[in-house]
Amino acid sequence: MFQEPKKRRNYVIYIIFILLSSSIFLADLFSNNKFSDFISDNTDFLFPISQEAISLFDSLELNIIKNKNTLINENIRLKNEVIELRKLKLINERLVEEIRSNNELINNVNLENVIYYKSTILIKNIEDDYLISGGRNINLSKNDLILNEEGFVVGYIVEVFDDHSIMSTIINTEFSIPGIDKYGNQYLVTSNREELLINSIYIEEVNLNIDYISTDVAFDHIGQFPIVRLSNEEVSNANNKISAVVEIDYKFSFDSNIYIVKEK
Amino acid sequence: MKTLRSISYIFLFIALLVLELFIGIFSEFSDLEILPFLILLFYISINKFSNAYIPAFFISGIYYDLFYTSNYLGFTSVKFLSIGIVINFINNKLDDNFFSEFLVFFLAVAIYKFEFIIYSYSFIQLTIVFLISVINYFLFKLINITLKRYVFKKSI
Repeated sequence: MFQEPKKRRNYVIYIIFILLSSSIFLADLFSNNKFSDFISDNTDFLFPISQEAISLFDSLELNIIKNKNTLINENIRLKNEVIELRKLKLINERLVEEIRSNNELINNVNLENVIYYKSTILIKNIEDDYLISGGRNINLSKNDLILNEEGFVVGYIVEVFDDHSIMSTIINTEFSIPGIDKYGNQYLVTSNREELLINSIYIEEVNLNIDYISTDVAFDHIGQFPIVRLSNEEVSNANNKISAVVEIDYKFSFDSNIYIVKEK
Repeated sequence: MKTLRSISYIFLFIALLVLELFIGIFSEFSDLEILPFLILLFYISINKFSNAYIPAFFISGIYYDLFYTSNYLGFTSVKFLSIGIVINFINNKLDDNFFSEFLVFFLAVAIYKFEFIIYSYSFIQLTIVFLISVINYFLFKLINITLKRYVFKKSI
């Protein structure tokens, strides 16, 4: 008998809090994020995820292997040596991989006047954006470009916090970046999660022999970095509009080598 | 005592939210996700719906907006509170059976992942949302059975 009024009262209070949240939302919207930036700047210690914490998760798997070895192997000394060797092997493999990716990066991009900060993917949020290490502590700012190990642009920064940032990647549907080809034609590169959609926005010379579409200082980027390679892709020209669709074969993972580009 | 209980709910909600994000690391960012926080929201919405959880819904949303997203502050709180109220309302209107409960759970996942659906609307994305619903609904049922104490009494 008393259930119905109680339930209605609950609904009313929920709605009041929805309105309160909406008011905060509007306040933040009209203050252009100043409200949320102020709070997050002063309470950044409440963010529990760091590179160390992620590394801890990474080493968890190694510890499980160690425990298994303890049970199997009766000779403790030999077991420790095996584990030590395995650790060294893993470290060696990681270093070899890092050298290889750094070499590829050096080959593909212009290194003058820019600094590359190696970053790590920390987590993926509910909206499928990636949180990466590095924020105001290394002077990152919105729209800083993010490259993969081959030097291709795979995203840009959309939000900066004290020690971490949020990036929009080529697998986000909000991803949108202008680019230029070797003939001076300008394009807008967008994504539908599975493919990159390339559409011209300004044509200087109609030529479908496009190798790369790159970022450019004309779009307030700090230099020319390749966004997409079109040499092996089908490029079409209709009504003086050049367009192409390129499948995204890059997969983001916990071990992805990504680099944030900054001006020196 | 009430304040203490509210604070403990807030900590529980935030802990599960962070856990959910950490689980993404183990799954290597696969599209099929385990969503413990959504399971908690759903469990509370249909079994324990009350005012006592409003601060937890509200503050966990604010916390999420502050550190994990580029959304404007308050956006996620609205989403969490809306899930609570909508799911409870619809669940009360529908018959108490497996199919309608799953439908309500699917709706909860759809609201929870609505950016994912709106921005990349396609058959594949809807299938992914459906599969996420199946996996998490199964987990929800497991937790629900475990939490019902009378199951043990009956078995005795």
